[in-house]
Amino acid sequence: MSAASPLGDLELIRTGALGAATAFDARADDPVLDGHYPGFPVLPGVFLIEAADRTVRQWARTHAPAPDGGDVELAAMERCRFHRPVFPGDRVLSDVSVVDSAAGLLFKAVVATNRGKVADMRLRYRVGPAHDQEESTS
Amino acid sequence: MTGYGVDRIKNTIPHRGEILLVDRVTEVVPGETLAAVKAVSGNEPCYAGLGPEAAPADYAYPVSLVIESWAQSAVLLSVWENPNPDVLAGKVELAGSINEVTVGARAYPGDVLEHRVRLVKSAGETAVLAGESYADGREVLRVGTFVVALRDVGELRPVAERTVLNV
Repeated sequence: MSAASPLGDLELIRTGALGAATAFDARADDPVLDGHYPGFPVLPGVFLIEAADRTVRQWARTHAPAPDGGDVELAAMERCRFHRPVFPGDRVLSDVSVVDSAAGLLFKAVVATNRGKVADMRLRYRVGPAHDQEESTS
Repeated sequence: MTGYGVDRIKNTIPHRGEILLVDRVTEVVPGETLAAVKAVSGNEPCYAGLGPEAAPADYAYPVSLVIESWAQSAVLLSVWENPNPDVLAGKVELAGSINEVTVGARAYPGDVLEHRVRLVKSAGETAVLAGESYADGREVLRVGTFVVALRDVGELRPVAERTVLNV
């Protein structure tokens, strides 16, 4: 992992031709939880998106490397549904699998804790260089 | 300063510390639209792990935090006239779903994210919002629908082990 991220390390649980799974612990001493929310700590839902997205990018480095050698990039999140909150101490498992690889890469992701499914989403990636690449400084 | 600063923001939504990701509300028409800004800075915690080997692209602001910052602007609009700054005294905002999101240009330290939010529908304590985020005139994010609901904290405590409504 080299790109900026609000989440710490993800533990790789499984990886294969059709997808991967990672895990992390929602730590009670994470300063994010002090502010989200004072007196009632719950993990921000977007951290589940972050975990799923990083799991896909990590998978793609070995299974679908971008032509320029960089990471694939999240282009769209077609859907994301949050089912229940994640609390401090929960272990969060992100399981991503390839749905389609014909036009870009489409993944479905299921995120769960020991209490059950907490989120599911569909994420679409662009494999080529980003469309704003030529204007950005590098 | 024009608009509303962090004082009004903290008196409206419960987010605090490093996860409070809105700096100013620049325009608001209650019940209809809101515009807000957030300055991206290189000293934010998401950059703390990057060392001297990091490439320029590694400093792209995480998409998850762009979404969070936009979503906080959306929550600001949904509770603007009925603030909920303390979840223990009031209710907790929980995202139900976020759909049809497209990711455009990336933002970097020094950029100012400009969020635009529209209230699509509001029914009871559930609101549906849509909008976009820009950085330097380029679209960074587009959100088709964001559904957020206010819930009683007591309803959500994990010890209760009760089923949380899917929203």
